[in-house]
Parts: sequence; structure tokens; C-alpha cells
Amino acid sequence: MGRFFPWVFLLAAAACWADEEADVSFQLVDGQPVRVVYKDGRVAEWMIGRRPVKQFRTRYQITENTCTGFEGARGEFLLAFQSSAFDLRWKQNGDPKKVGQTVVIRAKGGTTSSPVKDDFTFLTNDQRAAAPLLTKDFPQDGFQAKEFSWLPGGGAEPPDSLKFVRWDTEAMQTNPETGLMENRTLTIATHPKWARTAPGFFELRELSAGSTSFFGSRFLLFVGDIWSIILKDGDRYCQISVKANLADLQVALVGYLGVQPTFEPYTFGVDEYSNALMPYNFKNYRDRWKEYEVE
Amino acid sequence: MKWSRVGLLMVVPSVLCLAGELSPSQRLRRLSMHLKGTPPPAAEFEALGGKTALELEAFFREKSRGYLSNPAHVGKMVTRVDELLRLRTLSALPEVNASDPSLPAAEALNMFDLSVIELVKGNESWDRLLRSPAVPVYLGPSVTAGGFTFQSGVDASFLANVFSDLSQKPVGVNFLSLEPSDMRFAGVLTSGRFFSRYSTTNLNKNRGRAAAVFRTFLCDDMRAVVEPSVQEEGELLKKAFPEGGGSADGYHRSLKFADDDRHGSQESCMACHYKLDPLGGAFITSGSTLSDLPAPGALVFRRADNSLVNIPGRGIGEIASTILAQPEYVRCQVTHFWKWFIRADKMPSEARLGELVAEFDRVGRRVNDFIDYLVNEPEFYTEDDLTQATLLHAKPLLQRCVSCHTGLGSQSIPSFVAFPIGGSQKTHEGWIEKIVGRLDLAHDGRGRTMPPKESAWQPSAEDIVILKSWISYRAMDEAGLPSVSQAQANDWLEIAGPITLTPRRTFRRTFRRYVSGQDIFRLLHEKFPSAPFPKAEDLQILSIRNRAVFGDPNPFDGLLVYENVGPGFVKEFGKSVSYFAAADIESGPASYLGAEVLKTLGGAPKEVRWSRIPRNSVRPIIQSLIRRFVDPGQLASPQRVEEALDRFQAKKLQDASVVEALKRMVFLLLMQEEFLAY
Repeated sequence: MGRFFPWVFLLAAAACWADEEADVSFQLVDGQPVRVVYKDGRVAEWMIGRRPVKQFRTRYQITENTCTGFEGARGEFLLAFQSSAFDLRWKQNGDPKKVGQTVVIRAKGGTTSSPVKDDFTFLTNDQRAAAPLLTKDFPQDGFQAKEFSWLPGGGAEPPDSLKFVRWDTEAMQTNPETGLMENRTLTIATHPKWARTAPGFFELRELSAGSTSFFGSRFLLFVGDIWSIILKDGDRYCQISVKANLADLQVALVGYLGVQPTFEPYTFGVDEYSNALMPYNFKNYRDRWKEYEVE
Repeated sequence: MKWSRVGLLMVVPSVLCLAGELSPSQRLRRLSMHLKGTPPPAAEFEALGGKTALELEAFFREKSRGYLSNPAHVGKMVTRVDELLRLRTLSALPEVNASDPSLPAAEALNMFDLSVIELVKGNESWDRLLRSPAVPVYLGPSVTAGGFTFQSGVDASFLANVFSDLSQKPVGVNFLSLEPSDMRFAGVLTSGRFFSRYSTTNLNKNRGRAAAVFRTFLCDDMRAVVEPSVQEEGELLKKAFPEGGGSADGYHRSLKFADDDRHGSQESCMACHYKLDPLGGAFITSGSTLSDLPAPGALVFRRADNSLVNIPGRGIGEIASTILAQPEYVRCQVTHFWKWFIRADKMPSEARLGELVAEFDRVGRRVNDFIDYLVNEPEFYTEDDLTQATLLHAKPLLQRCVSCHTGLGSQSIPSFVAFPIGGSQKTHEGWIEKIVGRLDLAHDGRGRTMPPKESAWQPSAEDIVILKSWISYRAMDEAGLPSVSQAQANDWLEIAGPITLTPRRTFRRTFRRYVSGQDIFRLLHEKFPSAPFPKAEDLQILSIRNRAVFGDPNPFDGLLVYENVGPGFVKEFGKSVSYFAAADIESGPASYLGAEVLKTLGGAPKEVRWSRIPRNSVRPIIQSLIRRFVDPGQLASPQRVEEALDRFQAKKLQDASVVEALKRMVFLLLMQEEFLAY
């Protein structure tokens, strides 16, 4: 060890020097509020506004079934959702008017300013694996109904588990090849798997990694008011058309997001927002602060 | 508007073309334009001189083989296949990639177009459009965002369900090998562009995809039948064109359209569904991305002799293999080539079609070998006398009637192209009379009741004239033998005698054609070599707006919105010439004016007026422009120089800058029949 001492000493000295000279220092200590300390004495604190976890309900009706021909069954799809907002706010500033305001940065030499805030982040059960702490109170997603005759083998006791080949949603969009508006697949989830975990309730257990519905989020299963489900029944494939009532969902969602959350200092290390799911704007500033100047 | 007025005056007086065999220089130009999209260089025209007939034949064979190895031929085939499958033509030249010359245009870096490129470059069997041992897929650099890694190639997400290791593959074009037993793939049918063009919905249930397969590979053109009420029609239009009256880009002005979603829900559609639904079933596992699971389906259709074909397949791949084995497939593909390289307004006779099919098979269905054969056949370089229409001219139109009516039960009709129609002379005459009546040919189609007004296809004025002329010449069969009496024809059509047809040029249909679409830009690029070729993103040279006026078909229905040069064409062409010419003139004015004249200007050509050009220099400048811009194969006679001089002087260019005056002169020279047609 002894012979390495001079090198260790020099490296440590260099680190201290760098700290002393740094314009900005990010204080990311477990159990402590997240603070950004500037060389001139200003201090900013990273705040979080958590909205409550909410289970949204979307009513549906089966409109066509190419295998059983059974139509008309109704039910509800349930989706757990939570949105949070983040804001880096001045805690100490020479200008007292700025205290409590959002820190605004600008690329060095640039003209465009941007606040260091992430107004809209959302979580669904998709993040269960990546964020077990954040999703620990999330109820399971799934569909519930009294009537499952629309499934293959219509009328019999529903199976314990289900595996769909596809679940698409549709909406009016422009066909990029013809330039015309038409009903088109908007999102697609492949191989969603379901398990019957309670009477009348099938829980969504898995979505394939091949799902292309924007980050594979199950939230996107519910985008578009026409759903198309493909499933296999023996040797044949069945197509089930579903009309969803998104109006209620929209009203509920707008109401949910319309209520401003109460902000409080974020405590570092309590959940995955400290690392894997750190919101983009704050993370970007933390990683590239040298490229910005603060207004 | 200025461009339009000037240009049309110059094109309209010279629309007539002569019948008979083309001169060697005309033939050479036609060959080059068809295969490369640009005229041959002067040296090739000069090489034609003093050759015997035999030597000329050898010369043309050598030239066609040479042109077929030109990258522009590959680009032109990409466009042809895009149009065939009713995809949008690219907004740039498919064969040009300014950033990386080893690659095709960025827009062409998709599975569909790459498949065509490989097929043509390698002179592979045309069958590979449907069954190929490998999938070409372009993979761009990986991009990480929001904790997720994306491979940025356009088809990466389309294939993600099937190939899980794409992010590990190298950047560039990858060829993903397929097992022969893999039933999930069927060439271009299982590509992102095909899936995107023909999206499936709950109502459509892959019938649009199935209809495209039948139309393209079996020439069975089933059209969605929608019979909306007046109120419904308004609703549908609003749905398709939310801005009202037309699509936002101004391209799709035709209001005749069929709603894909309704395809299949109407009773009159059901006549086609015995074919569409079994084939559509083979796509059921795939939505907008390719599924990892093949789905069973079947190829079901009735042959011309009414026998039923019903061959199941374990997946779309197996059905594609089944299609390749059908005689209808081969005849259909040969017809595509005929339309591309010979003409679309006159079909080959049955006997000739049989010969073409035999040759297609003899060359192993290899794409370039078959084109080489076609462009050296007399039909390529001989224009027949079009004044008397025969069944061969009327056939493409009559087949549309047959296609729509087939399987309609009580509304079914006999084949209009198998004489005598209905089996006897009496039924034949009855059907011809009905055709005249339903199409109201006696009144140029004004009061026609067929096709129904909701039909996606409506005959053009030109179509009506062809049908009318055909019947006026006693409804001649393929061999040119009359099938009704002159008195009958005159009586039905309310005419005194036969109606002659005038040969004309169109963008794509006829023997003589106008330069259109991407070829316009190939030509301009060649004429103005110093002008940087505009990147697609900088200048949409074939933007959605100008595709139609430049003679590209509407990708919705495959029909030309404009068949001939019109004011819109002239305007867009003028803008394009202006772009290329300005850059070329400014980068090398001496080549336009001569070094001596340039010295006398006393300023930049962009700022100095044309009146500063010495009077005695004007004529040599114009002569040099004619030599440079009018094809070397066409003679710049002294008379032409005088005509050009008169025209330029009439334009009062004295006050324009030198660059502006030159731009206008070049435009006037290019806006000529010799330049725009082949």
C-alpha cells in the first residue's frame, strides 16, 4: 500500500480541488433532501408533488366475435396509475423574490431558457419490475365482468388464465402512404397474459417485450376507443372487437391531473426516482450542468 | 402562372406523334429513357451512324444490357413496384444517397424497397417479391432514451416480435436468413410499408391486404363497393378529408373513394369475400407489426373456366408459394411488364401473351433478362396505327367491367373480352348494345349508368373515346376482324361513320410518353451537373403536392390524377428548372456565356442586366444553349435557332438579370416536346 500512497494523495487532493472549484454541487445523500449548491451561495432544492395512486375504470362492450359470434357483453377494464411532478426550486437566493421559484437554466451561449422541472411523470404496473418501491401499493390491472361468454368456449366456466395474441387499439390517423385519414392501429400489445385471480376478474400479468405501444406501457392499451383482440381457440384464430367508453376515462383523467399536487422536498434514496426512474429534466441537469448557466 | 402560360403554348401545338417504326435515334432515346430515365449521351447517338440493320440490332442489344446495369434502372424499378403496390413514390431518387453513395436513398432503406433493390440489382427471379430466402433490413445506430434502447432502423420495431436480437446486429443493411419452412414471411407482403399502407382494423379484417395481393399478383382487381346515401356520402367525405373538400396536402382532390372499413360489410361486397377472407386470415396474427406466429389461411378463387381453386396454407408464406405456382400469377406479372415497357392502353393478344409467358419462364423469371427481351421486341420500337381501335385497345377497360361484376350473382356478366360475348352472335350484339347504352357512348358518357357513381373507378374522357372508336370500327376482335355490322355500330352510337383515334402522349399509359415523376429530376440533374442535387428534406422535389401534376399515380387508387402536361406541371417544372439552372449558371457562368462575354459584363451575372450582353454574342449563346439542352439526337437546325431567338426577344428579357434571362431561356428550351417526351 505504502508505495501507492503518493498517488492516492495526489488524486484525493485533485478531487478536493475540483470540488472547491466546481460552480455547482449536487447533494445526493440517502435519507437527505436533494439540494443543488452553487459556488456563490445560492441553494436549490428538488421538490416532488405526488398525486395519489388511482385505479381508472373504462367500460367496454363486445361488438363482434368472429369465433363465438357472441356480442353485447359488457364489463370494465381497470388500470392503476400514478402521476407525479418534480420541480427544482430556489431555497436560498440573493434575490428574495426568487426563493420558492423554479430554477431556470440556459445553455451557455444559448438564448432559450428552460425551467428545471418535470411536470408529468407517470407510473403504471409496467414499472413493477423496475420500480418495486414506487409501485408497491398499486392494485392489479385487469378486466372484470359478470359475463365471459365472449371468450372461446362461450357460456362455459371461464378459464383460469388467458393468453391473447394481440391487443390493438384503433384511432383515425393519416395513412402515410396515401395521405388519407382512416381508422388505423394506434397501439399494439403482443401476447398479453391474464390470470383469473378473483371471481369475475382477470388480472393482466404480462405484456410481451415486443409490444410497440410506446415503451410497452399498458396505459396505451386504453388509447383509442376501438380495441381489437386476437386470440387462439384450438387451431383457429378469433378476432374480438371491443368498443370502449373512453369518455368516462377522459373525464376522470382530466380531473385527476387537474388537481395540483402538494410539493415537498424529495428525500434521496426512498424510491426509484433517485436512480432508475429519475425524471429526465433533472437528470439531464445533474449530468450536464457544466453546459448550462443559471438565470 | 407565368411559367404555366409560357410553357403550355409551347407543348400543345406538337402533341401528335407518328405511327410506324421509330428511327434509330428515337429508339435509342426511348430505350435509355425507359431504362435509365435520362437520354443517351451524344457519343451514343453518333455511334448509330453508318450501321447496317444487323449491326443496329446488335448495338441496341448491347445498349439495353448496359442500361440494365445502371443504378438508375434499379431506382426506376423501385418506383414501378412502389406504384404497383400503390405505395407513395419516394420524394427523392431511390438510387441516390448523397451522404453514403454505397446505399440507396434514405427513404428507400426499408424492407419493401430494399427487397426490390436486391431483386433488380441481382437480376433475381421476380418470384422473390413473394418468397425470398432472406429479409433485407436496414438497422441504424442504437438510440437510448428514457432508459430504453431503440434500434433506429424503420423496420426494427416492425420485426421486433420475430427477431429479438436486432439491437446486436451491425449498423447498415442486414440480410436476415429465413428457413424455407418459415411461414411467417412472404417477401414484400410482410414488410412494414405494406402493412402500413394496408392497415387492418376490426371492420376491415385484413381484407385490404388480401385485395392488394389479388390485384397485384393475380390481376384480380376487386374494388370496395360502397353505396352510401347522400347523407352518408357527406359523412364519409368528412371522415376522409376532415379539412373539407380535399386532403390537406391538396393532392387528393378526387372525391370518389371507397372507405376501407366498409369493405366487406355491404352485401354487394360479399361476392368477393369468398376470396378475400381466407387470404386475409393469413394476416390475422399481425396488426401493424409482424407477428411471431403464422396464421393459417387459403388461396381461394375461381379460374376463367369457373373452376374453383382452394388451397390452404399454414401461413402467408405458404400461400405466397401457392400463388407463384398459379398460371394466373405468371400472366399477370407479364402484363405488368408489358404495361411498364410497352404500353398500358393496348394489351397483347392472347397468342402474344402466351409467347411472353413462355419467355418469362424461359429466362427463369429473372427480372432484367425479361426486360432485356421485351425492349428488343418490335412492340417496343414500333408504334401501330392507332386510328382504328381493336379489342386490344378496349380490353383494359372492358376487363374492369368483368372484374367488378364477377361473382355478383344476378348482376354477373359474361367475359367481354372472349368473343362472341355470351357465346353466340346474337348475345354478342346484345351485349355490345348494352355496353353502348349503359355507358351512354352515344353522348360521350354523359348519361352513363355504369359504372355506378360510387365506384372507385370511373372512365376518363379518353377511355370513352377509345370504347366509342372501337365499336365504331365494328367492335373488332384481337385480330382486327369486325364483330358487328357498320350499320349497327352507327345506329347504336348515333354516328355516320367510324371515329378515328388520334395518337397522343400521356405520362405513362401510351406508347409515347411524357417524362414524369422522378425522371424529370434525373434529367435536370444531368443537364445541370454543377447544381447540388436537393436533399429530400431541403426541397421536396417530389412532394405530395407535385407528385400528381408530375404524372405520378394517386397511391389510393393507382390512377393518374393528370394524364397529360397541364398548367400545374408547367408551374412546378418551371420552379424545378429555376432551382437547378440558377445554381448551375451561378457556379459556372462562363460555360453559358463564354469567357470573353463574361469579361465584358463588368459585374456578377446575377446583378448585371441582359441588355449588357453584346448584340453579336446573343445568337452564339442561344446556339450553345440549344446544343446543350436539346437532346443531341434531335437536330438544332438553323430554323430552330431563329425560332428560339424570336421567342426570347418576344419575352422582353432586356431588363432581366443575365442569370434570370438565361434561366428563362433554358426553361423555354426544355419546355419542348423533344425534351419532355420519348
